[in-house]
Amino acid sequence: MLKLRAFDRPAETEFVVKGGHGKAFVVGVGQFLTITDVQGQQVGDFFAWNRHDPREYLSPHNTRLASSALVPPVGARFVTNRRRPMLVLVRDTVGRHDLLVACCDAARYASLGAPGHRSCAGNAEEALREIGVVVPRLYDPVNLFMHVPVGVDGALTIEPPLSRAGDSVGFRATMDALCVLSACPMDINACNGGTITDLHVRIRNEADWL
Amino acid sequence: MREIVVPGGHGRAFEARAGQYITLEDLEGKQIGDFVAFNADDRDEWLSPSHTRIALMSMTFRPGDRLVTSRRRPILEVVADTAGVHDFSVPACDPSRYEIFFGIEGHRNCQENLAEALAPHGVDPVQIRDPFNIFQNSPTSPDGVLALAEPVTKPGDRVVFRALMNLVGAVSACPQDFLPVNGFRITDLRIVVSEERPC
Repeated sequence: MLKLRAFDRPAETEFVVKGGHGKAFVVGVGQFLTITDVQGQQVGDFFAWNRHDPREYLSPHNTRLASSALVPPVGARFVTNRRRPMLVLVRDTVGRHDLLVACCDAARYASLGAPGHRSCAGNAEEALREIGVVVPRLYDPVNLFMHVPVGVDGALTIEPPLSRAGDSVGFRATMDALCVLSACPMDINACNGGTITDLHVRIRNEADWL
Repeated sequence: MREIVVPGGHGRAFEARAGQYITLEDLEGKQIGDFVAFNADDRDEWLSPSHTRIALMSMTFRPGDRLVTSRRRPILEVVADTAGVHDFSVPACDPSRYEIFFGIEGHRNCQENLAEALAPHGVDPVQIRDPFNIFQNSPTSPDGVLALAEPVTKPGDRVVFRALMNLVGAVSACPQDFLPVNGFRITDLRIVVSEERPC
């Protein structure tokens, strides 16, 4: 794999991902990625690929096994389908996310009686098209801030997120990553507390919350 | 009726038409079968754990449940289950599992077993995603910690599915022999594809 030199590193940046829409961006190895829930109760479907080989991608399923947890704690390594660490969770003011369920897509909204609704799968495809990148296929996302409690009998429920305005997660990248964040447009169930709002992305060379 | 024995630690593929029954039997007990299935007419549509979890709103399945594909269409109906404990949250073991976690190179693994078995059926290895781990016991504690425990199955325990579309599937009798997941003994499984509902 290509070693990223300091001057190849993506520039520090920050931007808003509009509620219901998606955005693609790159993070360089060693950089810090902070995703903030601006107004609270907004889920962010997060997808990522090895920037140098899109056949390697962030895998929520391998991440659960690697951290022996349904919701990986601070310090956990978020790994790829090849079980290599891509991001390390270094800060989390919420502690409640989902790594179990598939992202919303056209079929999901059709089944809910809302054909043509915006979806995280559609947002991801749109965001990748915008930067001219083709990836082999979307994999399952890490659903940041999504609150899916598991009952004792294994029953799942979709509850409003526990995140409040300004809550955030911070990762340190251990691999050059191409990322997509979709501010989930689901307004039919409790997933986003009923209101679709913005997320904020910040990429820094140093941890800026210290 | 077609009967296929899956040798312990290896994989075997099968085909089933819509309406047929697929029985997976744990012949000696405590043996996981990593199970994958694809739409026979489009290998890009597969039995999907993450879509099934949200379709069932559950981490587990029971008789009467319909498991769905990556396009949210029902592909299998659970007809009978004498085991009651299965997993569809843990990825298949693969070379990286043995190499990175345990420092073992060249261990047999479910991912390659499934790929080997499915190659003659036109399934590309990259199309093989997360499996249903039939008979696997991976309990989650109330605080969300995952454990890897011994299966609860006895010899002869089985799961019966009905195919809801024409499908190609495969089962790997998991070769993991040093964690409790197969009771430290790798044994055979049996797949039966039948027109009649097994009694």
